Amino acid sequence: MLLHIPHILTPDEVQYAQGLLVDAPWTDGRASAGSQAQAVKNNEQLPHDCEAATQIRALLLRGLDRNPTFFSAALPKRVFTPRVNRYSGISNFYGPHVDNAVRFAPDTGQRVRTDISCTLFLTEPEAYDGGELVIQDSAGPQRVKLPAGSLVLYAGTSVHQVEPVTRGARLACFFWIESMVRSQEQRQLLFDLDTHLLRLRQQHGETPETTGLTGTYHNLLRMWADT
Amino acid sequence: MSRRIHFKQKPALALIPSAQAAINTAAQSTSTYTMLPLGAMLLAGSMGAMAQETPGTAASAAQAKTLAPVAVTEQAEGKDSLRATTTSIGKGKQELRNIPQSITVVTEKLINDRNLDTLKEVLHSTAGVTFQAAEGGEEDIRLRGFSLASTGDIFLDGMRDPAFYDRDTFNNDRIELLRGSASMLFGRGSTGGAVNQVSKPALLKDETEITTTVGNHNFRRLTADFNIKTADDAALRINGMYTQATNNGAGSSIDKDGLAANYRFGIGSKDEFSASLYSLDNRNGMNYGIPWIKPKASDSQSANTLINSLDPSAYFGMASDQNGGNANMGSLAHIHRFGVDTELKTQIRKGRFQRDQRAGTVRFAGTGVQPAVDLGNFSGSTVFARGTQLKVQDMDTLNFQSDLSSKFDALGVGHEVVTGVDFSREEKIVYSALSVAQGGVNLVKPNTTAGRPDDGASVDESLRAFREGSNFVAKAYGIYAQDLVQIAPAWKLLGGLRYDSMKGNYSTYAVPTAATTPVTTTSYQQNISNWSKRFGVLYQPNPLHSYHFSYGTSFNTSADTYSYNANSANTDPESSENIEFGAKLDSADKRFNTRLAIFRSTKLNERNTDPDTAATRLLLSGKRHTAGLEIDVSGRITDAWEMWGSYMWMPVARVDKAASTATTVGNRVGDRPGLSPKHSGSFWNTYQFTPAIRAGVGINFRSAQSPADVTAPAWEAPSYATGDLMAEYTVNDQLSFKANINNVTNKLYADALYRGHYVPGAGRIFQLAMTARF
Repeated sequence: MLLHIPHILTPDEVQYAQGLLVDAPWTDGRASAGSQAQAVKNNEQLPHDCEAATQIRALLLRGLDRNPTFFSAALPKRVFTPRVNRYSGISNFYGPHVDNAVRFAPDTGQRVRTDISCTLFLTEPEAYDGGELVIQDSAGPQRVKLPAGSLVLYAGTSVHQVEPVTRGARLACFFWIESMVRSQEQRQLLFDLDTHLLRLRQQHGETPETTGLTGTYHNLLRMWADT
Repeated sequence: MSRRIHFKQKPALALIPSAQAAINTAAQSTSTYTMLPLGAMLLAGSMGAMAQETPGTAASAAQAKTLAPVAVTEQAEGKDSLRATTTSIGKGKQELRNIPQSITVVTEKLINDRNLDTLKEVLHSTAGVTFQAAEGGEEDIRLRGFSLASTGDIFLDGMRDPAFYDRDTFNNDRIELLRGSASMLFGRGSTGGAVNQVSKPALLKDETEITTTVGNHNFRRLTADFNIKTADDAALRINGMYTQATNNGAGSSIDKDGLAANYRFGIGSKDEFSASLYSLDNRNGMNYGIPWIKPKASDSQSANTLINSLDPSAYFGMASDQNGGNANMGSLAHIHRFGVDTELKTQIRKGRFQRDQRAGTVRFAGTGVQPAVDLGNFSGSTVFARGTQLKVQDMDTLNFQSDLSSKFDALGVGHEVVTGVDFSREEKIVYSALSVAQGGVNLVKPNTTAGRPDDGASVDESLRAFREGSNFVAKAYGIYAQDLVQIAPAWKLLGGLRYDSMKGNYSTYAVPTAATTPVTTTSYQQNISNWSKRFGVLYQPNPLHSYHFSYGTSFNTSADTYSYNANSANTDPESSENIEFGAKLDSADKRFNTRLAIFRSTKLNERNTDPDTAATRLLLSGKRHTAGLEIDVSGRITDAWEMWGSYMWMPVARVDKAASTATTVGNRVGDRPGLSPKHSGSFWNTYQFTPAIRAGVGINFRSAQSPADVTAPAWEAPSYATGDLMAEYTVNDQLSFKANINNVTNKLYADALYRGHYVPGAGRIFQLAMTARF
């Protein structure tokens, strides 16, 4: 699954986040990478406990809270602390890699299985060259570069990379989700069912058929979900 | 699909068409809250709870919804926080916790909060710093009881900044004090430590800040800070300052202006360039000092004390006295980044400094005019005589410095290497005034009385005739390397070595007392080469705690005073060492940190005059040491309560060895040297009562201390503590008002001490500032 969700953040929120990052205490992104990724990673990250990161995280979580599509697609159970990164200057790429399957949050001691990867873009695409997020999908490489405030959600199992940024700076927030539905195919089916059902409900109102299919949705979720 | 979506290459997204349609309708439906996807109805509104948030960050996330946003970022800490976590004092930017030595950082926020306009005021607000009111009226700063050699250990952006002007803080991002021997980093000097002023750099943002301050003594100050982003990776910053006052609270008028500009481009890229200009022009007055007084004329001088009936701001010098001086500097810097972990920084600076000080001692007029003065007969009619002390000199400096810093793994351990070279040329010309017999003038300054401060009497200083009296040129280079090795997960070892070479040339031009010619020229040369070492162990069991032991050496030459004589030119450098155990402890949320250190600083071979008058050089037989404890605290105790403090307890200060000829107090075996109080420190804390109102309260204190080099018996200036208050009202992000009262009780105290006089600290100062930001 590769899904683009626009307007997670409003333009005002994006501008505020960009302001926070002007003089943020960027550190070498390799500190948080696994050993395989370290060899290919060359970017900068914010320390997760700094003020700017905390505030951007708060913005993002609020943005997600008001976005129904996100919930329907991700069916989130746990979210690993969103982080902020920057690609610019000489720290400008992240070569092909697969994210660690399990993330360990040292502050809470909780483990998060990374079923879904998410990237929220914080810089307008016109402001930099390069920096495409390239995801190796079953349909071949998908190149993603979204407006600031938009989110891309894709399977954590895929090999992906960020191409070198050759002009400007690419700011983004990234995080992982452990979904209640572990299987990607099942999650995709549930999302399809949910979205089609929503259209039916909007076109015809609540009918005995939509009620029945709603039951099917919940029963499938009951069968597959792990809460 | 939104028009704003940007596809770099088709097909960009493998979106499921039906899903996309659903997104669009879902987006519509959320606006009316009629229909939601089933998954959203199940789960919405709970992301914060699902995210891996620590309690602290979750709390601040919750607050972000209700409080006005406060942009606090670590790099801009200086403007936003009393706390600092990084420093550039150790060459290249380093985390404070990785430097095994005591460092106090005074941030721009603290400088602004406490209204500290000059470097001297900043240093006055830190522990362990004392001032000698030297004969030249210069700020002879002492740290841990050791002289910073007429400010030879003051640095600007890591390069030596000569002593020749009264520095203003308008272009300072922060002031850093590195305590203890540090020749490994800075070359000659630094027995007690070094002070580094960090300039405000151009930042990638558009911001203007203008502050207008008015206060008592007709104080008016205007500072303007323009930061202009000129391109994606380029910015220009211009800082300007203009200050006037009839009195600085300690008897000196103020009249100065300054301008600083920094342009940087390629910021954050592989090659970053920076060009800076700095200009400061002082036309200040000065209070050269007030004489000590005995309670009863028959008392020993050990009873000497301050004239408590005088107001601290009382001025008895001439209206024509001046402490003029200017500094003009141009700098270029280039950073080349070889990769994330390796960078080469090269800086070059050319500076021209002029000092034109014409002031004088204030002394009780002699017994021909009045009986011997003591506290019993001191009154408004007590007569003061005014002397003449001139200091007219120019300085010309050229500094070049290139530092390479790199992090890498080798031989199975992590290394952080800093290495570099530096070159400098310093030239100082001292001008002497001609006597009447030599063709000059004798300007007679009239007496005044204690009851008539600011009598307005003046002489025409422009009539004096000056000629070149001496010329000093020092050419020096240094080369150093330091490695911080991660030998085990919690342990780091630091080792550093530096080699210095200096060639000094000094010529004096003596004019016969009764004629204008011929001039006798006497020249001296000295060549010095010396090694300096630093060794340290760091134990960092977790990200919050860092413990260190360090040993460092330093040396200082007889060229510190920019002059030689027949003996001093033949004398090897003095050397000193510093041993320190310390800890840097951060609170769990890293918002508050504490720094502790137990130190012992020793001067191993102090210069002394040989009792054998046939000697061709000075003896290096003296030894003295100081030992004590330092504590610094900084940061936020709660979200609203911010605190900064610096305290030094120095129970031990002792002369261990001295020449048999040593007679003055502080130079004989067993003496406690002057200007080394046992307790010294400063605390400041602010509380944010409402988003708009913040208030602060602080204290500065020193215990009793003696002037240096007094013929026995010595006396002590009394201990003192002064209180400061601040209140700030923030109208909005664009406008704020701040009121400061420093030295609330108008306490009279001796701030700078000399054997013949003391200079009082500023009395009560009230200032109101308006800051506009846009």
